[in-house]
Amino acid sequence: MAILRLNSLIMRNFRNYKEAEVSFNPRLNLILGDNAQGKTNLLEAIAYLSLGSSFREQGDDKLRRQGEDFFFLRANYSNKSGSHLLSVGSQSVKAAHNRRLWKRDENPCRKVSEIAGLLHTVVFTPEDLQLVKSSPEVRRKFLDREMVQLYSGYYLYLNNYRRALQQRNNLLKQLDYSASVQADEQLAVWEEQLAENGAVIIKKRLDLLHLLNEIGQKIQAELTDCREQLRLQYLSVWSAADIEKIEPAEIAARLRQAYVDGRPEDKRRRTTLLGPHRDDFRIYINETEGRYYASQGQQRTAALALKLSELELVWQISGYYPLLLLDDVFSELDKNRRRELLRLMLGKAQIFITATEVAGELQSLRSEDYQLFEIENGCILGA
Amino acid sequence: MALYFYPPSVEELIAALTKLPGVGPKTAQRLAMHLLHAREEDAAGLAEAILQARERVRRCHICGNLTDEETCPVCQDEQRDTTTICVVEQPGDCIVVEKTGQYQGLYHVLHGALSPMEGIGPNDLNMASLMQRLQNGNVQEVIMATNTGVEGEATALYLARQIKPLNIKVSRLAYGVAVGGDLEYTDEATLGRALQGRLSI
Repeated sequence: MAILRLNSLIMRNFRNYKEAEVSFNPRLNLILGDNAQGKTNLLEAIAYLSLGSSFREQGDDKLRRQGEDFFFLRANYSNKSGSHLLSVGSQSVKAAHNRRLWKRDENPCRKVSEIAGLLHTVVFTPEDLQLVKSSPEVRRKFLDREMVQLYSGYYLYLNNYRRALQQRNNLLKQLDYSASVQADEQLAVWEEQLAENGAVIIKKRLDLLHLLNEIGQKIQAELTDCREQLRLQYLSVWSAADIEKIEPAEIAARLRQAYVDGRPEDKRRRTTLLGPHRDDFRIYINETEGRYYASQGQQRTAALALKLSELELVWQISGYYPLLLLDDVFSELDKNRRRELLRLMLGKAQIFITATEVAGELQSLRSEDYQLFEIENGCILGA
Repeated sequence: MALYFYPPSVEELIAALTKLPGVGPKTAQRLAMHLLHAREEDAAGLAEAILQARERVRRCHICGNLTDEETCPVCQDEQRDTTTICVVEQPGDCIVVEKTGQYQGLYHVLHGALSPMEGIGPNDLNMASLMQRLQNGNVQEVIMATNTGVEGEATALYLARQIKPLNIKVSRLAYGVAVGGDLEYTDEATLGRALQGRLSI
């Protein structure tokens, strides 16, 4: 069986860790400790190596230990081709400027897209439990975070799109209304970049959502004894039922038109109001929109189903289960959901759980099945 | 006790060197020490070369490339094909194209790319003189050799749209797999573009 396992991790000057080396259990790792001792920081280090950025969306200067000018992370992991090293060093060069050096098996990598997804992770935070009712941004991030790891090219399109968007927004802020013909000519060239890159982004998200839909239905049925049905629908600039059958060229054409049509309003508001950077997907539970009509419990189950679907999806596409990082979320789930989660994933995905204490279900596990770590003020004690 | 630092004149040299692109404080220190230890004529030669270049160099009044004369050697060269103009962002890009030995036409240097973020619009680039060059009807093709990033693409597209009404052919450099490169290590986006622009053999 093709597997992905994180064997060990070295951290230097990362968050509150000065110097730490940890070896992990291949099945389940329980990271315990009081609040503010560094539990999440450990998960963050693992996620940083897989995404090239923090899941807490913070810059490198915030990740360095206070008063230090660099941090270093190195993972020893195994996949189907054997055991590998992945490392990153980030050094502050001048104010607000960091130099990063990624190495894959000791070979330097120039782009984050070369390493994204090597140490594939799925992160599950309390924020993700709110996936159903939170803002569209959280759901977009959910899709994009997975996509960056699944398709090495996605990062480039996303980056190009963001850059063109920044440029168009800057242009909108500088526009002088006396020269509106010239303004439209200039807007058009950025819209072209937005449409070209945006079409690929939308197409990839649609494909991913299509797969998630199929897998999610099964998992939701399992989690609820077939009482609840889950359905996902992508929402873009235009709302159309045929959206999933559209080719990228057609998406690009529609986006192009949407940007042109949006110009008057965009000029008034001085920002780009439409496009994949504003897209969303709806989550239906039993054919009613979960955001408005589902109970808290139903929303949490749907969120869990989506995360588990994400793991299954990676298995279907890439042939291995990604690492599952549960940040303070396990204790947030009720007994049934905890049991289901372990039943579905234990032994498949390597699991990392942070918690303040050992929750009920885990006490019944065999001792060789898991490893306990106590975190105290940036020190890791293997218990 | 007063701490000892470099003498003010050396500090000044280091500060001046730090302003250069790609040079941090450590490199600046090393360069300064090197210059102080170098032979008199080498250090003076460098200073003189900087002054000379600053004094002599100007933009070619036709293509905008850097030159020591009124008109650059390429624009003066009667052997060159005057029906083709290759548009680049920086003077250095001309040299790269020249080195291929495959290009006999003329150049046009924009000195940058469109970037509202940095406050660079069409009027801040050397675009007006390009449009002027195209008016006389001699030019048949304009090759866009701007960078392939978002800004370079936008600049090429902007110019292409300006040139279109003049009925002049506008082409873009092909995207492709690096020569001698391994397909396996080519990123998806590049390979996708290379597929779109494939050639029959």
